[in-house]
Amino acid sequence: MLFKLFFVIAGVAVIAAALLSLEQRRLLTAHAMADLHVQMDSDRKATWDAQAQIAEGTHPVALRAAVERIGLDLEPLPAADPASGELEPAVAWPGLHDFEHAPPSSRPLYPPADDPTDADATP
Amino acid sequence: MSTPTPEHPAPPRSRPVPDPALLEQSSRRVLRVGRVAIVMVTLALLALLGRVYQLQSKPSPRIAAMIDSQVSTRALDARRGSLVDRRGRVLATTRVAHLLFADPDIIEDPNTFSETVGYTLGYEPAEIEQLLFKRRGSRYIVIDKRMSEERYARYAANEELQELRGLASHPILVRDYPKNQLAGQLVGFIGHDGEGLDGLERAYNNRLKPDPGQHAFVYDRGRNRLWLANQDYKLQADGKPIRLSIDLNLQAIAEEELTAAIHEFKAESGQLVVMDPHTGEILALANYPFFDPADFRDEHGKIRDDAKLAQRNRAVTDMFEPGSIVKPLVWAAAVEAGAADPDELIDCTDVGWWKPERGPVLRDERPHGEVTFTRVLIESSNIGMAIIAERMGKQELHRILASYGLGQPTDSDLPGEVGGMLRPVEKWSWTDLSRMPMGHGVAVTPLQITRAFCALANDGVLINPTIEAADEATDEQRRTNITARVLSPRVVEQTRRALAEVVTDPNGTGRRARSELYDLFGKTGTAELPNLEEGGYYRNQYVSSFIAGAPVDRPRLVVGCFITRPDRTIGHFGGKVSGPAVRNVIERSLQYLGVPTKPERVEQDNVQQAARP
Repeated sequence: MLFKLFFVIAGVAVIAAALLSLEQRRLLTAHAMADLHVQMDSDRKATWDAQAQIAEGTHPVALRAAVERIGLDLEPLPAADPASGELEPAVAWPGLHDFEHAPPSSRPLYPPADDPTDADATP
Repeated sequence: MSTPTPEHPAPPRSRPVPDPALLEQSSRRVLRVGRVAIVMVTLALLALLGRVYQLQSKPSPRIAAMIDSQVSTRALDARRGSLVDRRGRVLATTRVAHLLFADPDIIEDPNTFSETVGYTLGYEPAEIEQLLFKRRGSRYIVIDKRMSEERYARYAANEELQELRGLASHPILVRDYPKNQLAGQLVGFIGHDGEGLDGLERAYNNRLKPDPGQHAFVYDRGRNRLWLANQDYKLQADGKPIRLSIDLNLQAIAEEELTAAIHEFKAESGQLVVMDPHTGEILALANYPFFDPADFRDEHGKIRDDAKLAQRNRAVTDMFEPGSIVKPLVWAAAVEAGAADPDELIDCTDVGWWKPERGPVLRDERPHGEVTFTRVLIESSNIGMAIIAERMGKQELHRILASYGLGQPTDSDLPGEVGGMLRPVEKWSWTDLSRMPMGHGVAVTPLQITRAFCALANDGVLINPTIEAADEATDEQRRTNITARVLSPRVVEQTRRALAEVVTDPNGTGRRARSELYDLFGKTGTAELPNLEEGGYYRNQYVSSFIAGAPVDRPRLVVGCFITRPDRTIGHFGGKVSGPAVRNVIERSLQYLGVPTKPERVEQDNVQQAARP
């Protein structure tokens, strides 16, 4: 009977130790995770700071002055579309029939300038 | 009884034989005690478990207060979205700065404290001492709302300050404008609450605005951070960055040339707009006087008077009578509609004045005589344009001006944009019919008129100006940006040829903008400023404008320069005041964009010809 009791108590003790160990590891992990959270937050802010510093150091006027001082011979930026030289790729515009001021037929909207019915007769 | 010896050992003791009945009774007792003990231990464990459950789920207020004091929630800072130019260069961003504060309750000697902090960090000790006694009872006295980087570095490196009781700093997020006044009015600024108040900071506030998060930590009694609490966790979301259509190099060029022109002619203000006529993208937008979003408040946090004058983006908020820069728009539409032919002779009179059928006499700067309609544009004859306008009539002229988008906002997303002024045709007088084609009686914003001019560089297609760069825009997306086709490519080409002569002809009003590097086409404008108090116009106050595009055969840029109140004793005509500035911007910008100059193109042609068999 005592042996059984000892066995049960020992079993429970082992399980408890294992659980405690797991719990300790969970807490350590949680602690490490908390530290990482803080570290990540800090690193994010350090990145923002670095980005702002880079932005300050790349003012076009300051860069141009630096390039002139050093005597660099810079090539112009390549256009987006080398074939056409456009800043952006070409777009097909609406057809010619879309424009607003074209006469609707071959007959001109306006009579010749010397016609007496000129001026504001046109709607 | 004798003592036992080895020879006579003692007889062995007989062990008493246990009584089986007693044994059984004893073991029963042990078993009973054991059972009771097990039951009690079990009950105790169950009670313990119950208590744990109760502490976890419904702790008493006293316990809850103790637990709460060990959990502390802190904000997870999120960054407001950055504003970047079309090539990703930062115009506005958020960074970390540090706030310096003091707790008067734990300062041992305010006098020594003030002197130590003041002399080490460069503050006035008397002012610090004054602050310490200003709000009695407060344990949070801000000494510096935003320490400079150099000052914070000095603070962080100084051990004496780090250990000084009652002095501490904490990080804060601040909005930074690293390019200072470059595109200042365009960028705008935010208020103390982080909300956009002006410029694109205001226009795109909803997209730029971050959504801060929070997380809670459990601390031990010594306030050492243990772990994240399973409560109050919210992930932060940074604001979205926005890529603008402007190019900071072009912006710098535009601001430099505008400043040079303003200083040369001692003008009051000016705007310079650079657009890509094919996409409608605003590549640069300069406003003089300049505004620095990083430095516009006084020591009390109020906007300085000089900054109030400069902060407005006048390229969209202010309108003016454009003058002769409207002529090419009317000229092209008249040719398109068949109301006039470019080679048709128009009698602009030899005396320099002309009486319309109705309305007052109209004058030219100088007599032009009988010239072709093309020369009317080149020499900027008011009379020639009025004659053609009379042919077209009020309705048609109104329709033409409206078709270019005059009188309505361009929907550019820029805050505060006004639509200019184009009165309904019913309210036109006969004077308007002869004055509108020369740009009087109508009011436009610099952006509006530059956008209208873009139609002459874009095969007659009027396109919406945009300030946000489109990421990998599809053809369909870009087509939705088109307002209308207002002219045919044939007429546009004729107009561009005429406008090129405005710059190249010895009598052309834009001859001072002639470039040796690129072929320009453009139109000058010199409009008197209206006297809004007494009516009529000021005699010596002008808006001197010039709008041009280049290269003529395949326009890449359209640049408009508008300078207000130049000193007349130095010069006031648009061609003289704004012409050279536009030419310089076009030359420098096209070279930056890699567009071959005229000499380079001749060289390329020669190489190609030599390469042919």
